[in-house]
Amino acid sequence: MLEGQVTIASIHERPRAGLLDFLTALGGWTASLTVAGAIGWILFDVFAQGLSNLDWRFLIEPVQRSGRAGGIGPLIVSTGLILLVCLAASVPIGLLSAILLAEFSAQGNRFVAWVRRALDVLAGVPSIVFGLFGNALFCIYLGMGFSILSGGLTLACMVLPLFIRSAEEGFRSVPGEYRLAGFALGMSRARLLFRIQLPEAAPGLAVGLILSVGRALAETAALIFTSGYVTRMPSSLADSGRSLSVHIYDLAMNVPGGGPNAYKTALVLVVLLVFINFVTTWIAKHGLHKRILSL
Amino acid sequence: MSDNVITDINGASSAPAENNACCHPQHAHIERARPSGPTKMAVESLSIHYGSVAAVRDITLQLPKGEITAIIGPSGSGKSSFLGALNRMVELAPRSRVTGRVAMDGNDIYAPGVNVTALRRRIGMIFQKPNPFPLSIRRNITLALAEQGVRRKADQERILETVLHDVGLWDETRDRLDKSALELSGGQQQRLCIARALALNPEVLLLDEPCSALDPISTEIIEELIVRLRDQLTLVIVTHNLGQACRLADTVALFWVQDGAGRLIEHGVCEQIFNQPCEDLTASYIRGRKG
Amino acid sequence: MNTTWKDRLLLSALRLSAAISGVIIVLIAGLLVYESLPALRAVGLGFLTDSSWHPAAQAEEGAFNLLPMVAGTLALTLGAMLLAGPLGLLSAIFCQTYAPLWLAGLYRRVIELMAGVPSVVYGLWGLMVLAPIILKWQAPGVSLLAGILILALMVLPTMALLSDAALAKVPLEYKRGAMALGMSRARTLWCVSVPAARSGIITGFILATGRALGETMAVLMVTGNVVQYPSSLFDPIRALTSNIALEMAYAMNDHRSALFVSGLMLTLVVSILIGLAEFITKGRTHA
Repeated sequence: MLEGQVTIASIHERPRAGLLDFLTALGGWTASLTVAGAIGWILFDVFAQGLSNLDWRFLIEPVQRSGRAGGIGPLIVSTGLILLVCLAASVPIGLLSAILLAEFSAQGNRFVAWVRRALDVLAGVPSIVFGLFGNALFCIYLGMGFSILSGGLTLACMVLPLFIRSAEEGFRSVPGEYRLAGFALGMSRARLLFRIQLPEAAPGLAVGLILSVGRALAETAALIFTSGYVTRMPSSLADSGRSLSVHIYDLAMNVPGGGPNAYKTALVLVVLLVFINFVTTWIAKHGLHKRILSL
Repeated sequence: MSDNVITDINGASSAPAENNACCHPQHAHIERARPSGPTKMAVESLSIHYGSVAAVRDITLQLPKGEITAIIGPSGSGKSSFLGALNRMVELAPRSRVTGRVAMDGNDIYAPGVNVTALRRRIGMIFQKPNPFPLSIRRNITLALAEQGVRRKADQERILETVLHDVGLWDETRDRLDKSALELSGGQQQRLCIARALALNPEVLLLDEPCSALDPISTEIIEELIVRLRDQLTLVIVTHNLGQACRLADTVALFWVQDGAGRLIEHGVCEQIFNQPCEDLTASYIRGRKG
Repeated sequence: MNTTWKDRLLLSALRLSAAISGVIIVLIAGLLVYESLPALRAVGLGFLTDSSWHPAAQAEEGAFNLLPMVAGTLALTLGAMLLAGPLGLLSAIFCQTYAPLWLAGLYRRVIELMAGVPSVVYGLWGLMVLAPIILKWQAPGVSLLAGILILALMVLPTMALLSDAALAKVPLEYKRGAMALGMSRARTLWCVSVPAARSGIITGFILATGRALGETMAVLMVTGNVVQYPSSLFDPIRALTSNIALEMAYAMNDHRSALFVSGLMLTLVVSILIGLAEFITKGRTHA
């Protein structure tokens, strides 16, 4: 029936598909080395240029001569305040939204599906468009002008989908048995949520929080037209304040001779972000570990 | 007692072409009643370890050419590991280690210089859960053919039709060869997997509980197919279903966990194992008292 | 009686918050449209037919042709995806197949780190290191090519991480089936694993494309920002996003409105891409 149709391979024959295998392996190694090399080069450049003549006073001194001299003291304060506003607005709303999405979406209700889709689109909106939106809504229609408040609220809109997604994962990872047990004990939904599920979901929430901070710290385009360019120490949230990322952009593009300080600021920013990256990974791992032990 | 068995089989293995179906001289009449053909694969003192844990230890066993050998035994007795050692699939498991000798037609398949992919094309394998690729029915069969060296479209088509006929799938699928294989029923998927293996014209087919995920009707179809394949191929089937082993097999091997690893307890022609087992363990397993 | 007043209050609070999160996108869309309307009315087809981009506060006094910047954005995105697509897929394949376990883990961390590096830092490096290198080869350095290279690096993590996740989800049975048929590793990969992970890989590609279209700062810093159709890789060009960032600071009336029109266009295209990605992902879960 089958004889003679397929020649029987000798088990000692030379491997046939060696070339494809070789090319794929070569491609994989080349691509990975190229990518790792490029990012390595970028980080090395930032560290090498940023560390030369770096003085700790750079972190506290005011900005002088458009940033060519002095430090970034006020900008760190502004950046911190923008972050605070951003988190103060996004965390409560995001947390409650995440609870709804994770715990009350089982009924497959339309409202939840609609919110989820809206968040997906929101996550993809280009940051410059957030800048336009924030400028129009907060600065002009709500009369906040270029201010830390406008910038922080714009960023809050931007990080919301990211925070909600991580927080939702956190809640979903809480074993469903807890819910059943809670109901069986006649606990109210609210009590169950805040006493049992919220603490259990904490690692997911922490990851979401830190990812949001990272995203907000890295953002530039959305801040240029919302929190503004002013390099003075802010005296209130209604003041305009320049963030670290905007400072890098401005020094590199608009200030001749601003390069060295742009690199120093970039170094500060990158160190912060790398630190955040490690903390996130650590919490994600640690939280997971704890969950496995508790099963 | 079981040591005796091993020694006996070891004795037989020195002359692999000879008759070796039974373990004890007092059952010689059964041996003569169902003479076995020459040996296709010979396994000598095979042990498989995963890390420091032994899955099977010191297995010696011959697979007669053109016959069906059933491997039975309780869960965890290393049946699947043993099967995986026959086509070196076991090497894909992390930290696995194989010692001993496995030969096909007298050639050690673990010898250096053996092309593992070519080996696996000569020793097909069917898994417990049907695993067609998420591609079209046609592509499922032609994919490995191209690597086998069958590149001409016409040849591929001819083989496609032949093997689908062989597994009784041609009439059911001829109109939808380009549809996804995942649209087939579980039983059809398993037959497609068998067809896929047959397309490579293997000499040995290993089946790892091929019917355990299927309904009774599909099981019956697959069993008929296995019986039809009997004379062209050497088949080894791992099964939990004693009835299936009894219906299909020429020889039966019983594995059991002893000292933390799977051991071969008894190997003999089907009738003998089921009617006059040498070992008490076999007797109680066959009668459902153990396992 | 299992619904107390507290629970009802809780549910209302949850619904309200979720509604706020959902409404933001409606607000954004609404505001973009509302702010775009004056320019859409006053300029209309002029966005495609005007002689050039010389905007003015009053529509009649200026020229509003957006096409050179649309072309710039498209050229950048196309170039970046031509690089980031294959590189990202190969990176994922490397992690899944060819890299030793420890190296795959390390490389994944590197890519996650890449995703976290701010776009201004990519821009800074592009401006200070990459552009001068290109300049040695051909002036002016800040160019379409610099933009493509930087953008490719920036969107690569999206492509690589999503492809990696998709490949990791390919059931082991497929691979075992292929191995048992004596297929080589590379053929198993290209003929079985990659097709099986297809929808995840395509989703990664689409989302990366969306990111490339919307990226502003890095592009703004390295492409030279000359409004012109690119005729070679070494030409400076201006992307739609850069245009908004550059002119928003001083734009008034119809000019400002015209910038909102380009923001609206970007948002529409990106939303369509995200819808497409969602459709592809859903399609697979149903199958």
